[in-house]
Amino acid sequence: MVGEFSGEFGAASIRGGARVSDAWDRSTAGSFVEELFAKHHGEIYAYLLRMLRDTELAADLTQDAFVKAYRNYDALEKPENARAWLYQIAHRVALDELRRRKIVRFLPWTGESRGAAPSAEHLVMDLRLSGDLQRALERIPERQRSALLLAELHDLTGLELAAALGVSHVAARALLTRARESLRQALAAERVADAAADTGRSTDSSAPPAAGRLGRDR
Amino acid sequence: MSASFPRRPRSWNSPHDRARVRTSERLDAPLDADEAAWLDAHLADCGGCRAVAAAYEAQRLELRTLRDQGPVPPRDLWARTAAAIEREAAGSAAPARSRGSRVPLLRRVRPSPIPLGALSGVLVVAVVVGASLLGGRPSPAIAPTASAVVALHSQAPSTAPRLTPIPVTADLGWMRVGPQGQMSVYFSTVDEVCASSAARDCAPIEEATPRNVTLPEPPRSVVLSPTASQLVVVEANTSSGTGGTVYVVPVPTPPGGAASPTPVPPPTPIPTHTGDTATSAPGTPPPTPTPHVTVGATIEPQVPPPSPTGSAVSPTVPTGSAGSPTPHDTPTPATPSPASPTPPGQREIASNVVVVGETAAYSPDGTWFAFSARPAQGGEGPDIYIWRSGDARAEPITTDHRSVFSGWLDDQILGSRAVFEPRLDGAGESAAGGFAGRSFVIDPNTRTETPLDGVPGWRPTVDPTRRLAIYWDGSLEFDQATSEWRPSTGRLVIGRWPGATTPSPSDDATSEPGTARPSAPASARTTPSASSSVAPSVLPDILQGGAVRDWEARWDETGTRLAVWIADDSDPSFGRLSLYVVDPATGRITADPPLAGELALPGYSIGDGRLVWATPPRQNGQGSRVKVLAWTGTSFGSVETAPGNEQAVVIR
Repeated sequence: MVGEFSGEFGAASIRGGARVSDAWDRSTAGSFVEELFAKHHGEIYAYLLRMLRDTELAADLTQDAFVKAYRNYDALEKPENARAWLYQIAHRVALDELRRRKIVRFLPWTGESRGAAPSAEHLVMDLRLSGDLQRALERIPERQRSALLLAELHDLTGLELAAALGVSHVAARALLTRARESLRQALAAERVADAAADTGRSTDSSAPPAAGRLGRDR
Repeated sequence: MSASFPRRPRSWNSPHDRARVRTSERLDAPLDADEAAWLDAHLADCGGCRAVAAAYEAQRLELRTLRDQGPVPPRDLWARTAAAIEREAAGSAAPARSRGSRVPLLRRVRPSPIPLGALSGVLVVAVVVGASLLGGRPSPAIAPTASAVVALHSQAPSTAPRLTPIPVTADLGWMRVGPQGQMSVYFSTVDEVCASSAARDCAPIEEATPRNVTLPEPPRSVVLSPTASQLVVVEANTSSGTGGTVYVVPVPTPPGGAASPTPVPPPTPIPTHTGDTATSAPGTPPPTPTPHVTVGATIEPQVPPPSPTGSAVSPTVPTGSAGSPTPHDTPTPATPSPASPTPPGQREIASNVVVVGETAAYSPDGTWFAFSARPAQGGEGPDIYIWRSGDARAEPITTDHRSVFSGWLDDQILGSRAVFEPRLDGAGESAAGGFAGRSFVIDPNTRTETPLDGVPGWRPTVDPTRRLAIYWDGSLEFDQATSEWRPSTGRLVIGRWPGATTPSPSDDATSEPGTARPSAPASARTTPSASSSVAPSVLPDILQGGAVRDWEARWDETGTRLAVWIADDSDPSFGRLSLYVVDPATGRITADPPLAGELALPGYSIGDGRLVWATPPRQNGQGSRVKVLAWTGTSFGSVETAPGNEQAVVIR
């Protein structure tokens, strides 16, 4: 998949092949992005929501992703790759946001003040995930989480997944394997913690076993 | 699963490792026959690997059941996106926006940088050009002369180490506190900084010969007037129990500088416009600083002030106030006693007060100085005070003890008031209600107050382009111990500034639900043309969640650099300082801030391509360092002074 995308979000430079457009044509780009939006905005929004767990932020970043698709329209070589290309953009946008959160010392908002951020409980309902699974997903590295979501929930092919993640096929496969293992361990830890809390054997529910990030992917 | 991948032979650490990998891969695509047979055989004998395989399958099934239950995007998402794309298209076709025309605080006069090592030789010239060099604008009477420029260019080259230098132009000033109240005032110019990787080895800032001022108490903060002729010094007085004093002090000249026989700055006429002008009337000799300044320590008896003519409301103070407060309860406005030992040239514009926060600032034209203060006694909350340059005393322009000065919006005072809301949005405060911030502007000339409906939060700090603001989004509480309003629960955010924006089609298309346009006075509606380029829907950004005891946010003159100091939770006398780069197109903070969480005292200075702050003194007796982070384009570098023995206060 390397070499099909270029520009701001591409993993490599263009290597041959017919370009969608040789010239920057705003009108064409606008129409193309509008069509992309109609087809894919729901899944892009869902992906970003699952990554970031913030409905308003997911909407904002979905908007960002399509604006960047418009801006980088001429970097798309093959229209048939547009979906994976969009996911690649969304993936980068999500990682940038997660990285930025760390930099600005983002702390989860607890909902006591005025504002529109939804509670964790609402998000779980929105995402229709079990609490254990949601927490476990939160604990695995972002790139692994992204790989899992894209493969299992968004049904990306191997090629598309590699393209969206900006890595080689082999690396994408390895990442997915590590993600499954990380999620398994995280789920096990969550359930042990739940069991301990239920039985009262643990007085410190804030320190579940194996707390913290799993794996080495960021 | 459709994520099928090509495989290649590999070596394995263990058969269990191999089984786990192959189990995962088989979820995506069939294995080749040999590998499938091996896996089946291994799983038949390995209970642990079967459990892993079962877990993979289970978590996969749980995830895949959600495929058809995707969350529903907002209905207006296309409208927002289309509007953003239109802005993108318009932005790419439009010429680049020029930088703001605001003159920076400490702009230099000389046309080209000089080496650090030459600075000491420049001081004689600096005495001549004095205030104009510091103030960023030539004084009518002492404009830089050709000879001064020639002298600057004739200095000997620097002998300081030159490690990865980045040429910058950064003027700065600071005070050091001596053991006897002796204040040493330093002004310096930095022409080069070192890249972060070499900052530790960078030659320190050379501290020029200090200019001396004697103060009865160490200052807490020092503000330089836009004309660079005077300093407003806020005492950190708590030792006497009578509150602190706010002084206006002429900028001292260095030893050997020309002293004025009449050191008292003349009363400053009110400028007739808000442009980049000095406060002195044409033809009026500029205030001439004295080489040494002594400020008296006596607190003057208070005289009831003239009543504010504004419309400030006086709701009941929620706690800690005995009786209904009036402006006359406040200690500030008083006529200095003729017997005051305060020497000529200095003014005590407020006394027996505790200045609240670090927002005190001159108006852009230097006519007014505004700050927040509360009485030293009585448990009453803060009000906004203003002082007109040349007047005897500062006056309160609010009387409710719930108001604080947030900053200047052109020639208007932007304030925040704690108001009770019967029902706050969100879960935590819904039952009993609570206090939240409401913003307003006050015309300092007429004292007319205008509410800014729909302006969010507490203490908004608005960027110079009037597009963004930092504010506390949350509830407030009255701190009995300090008699100050402080954040309770919520978050410190950077968000779109809805105040003073001019309606435009693109704004309407992308406005956030529930964000009303405020009723700002005409003078505050000075939205630059670039305002519509901000994508409002991506905001607010959370700068700090959870508890924030205090903060201090300031923008540079371009609105693209934002410094935020956040007080330490346990000891607000110091905090952490960060510098963020704000994308002018989106209004969002970019990744990799040039400065992240540096230990700093409150009272930093930002502008004209540099951020200046002082570090807290160390426990080993080492004093503050004054640090500079300067930038040119996208290049950032830093330099600092050698540590002194005293605490430093940055002049801002």
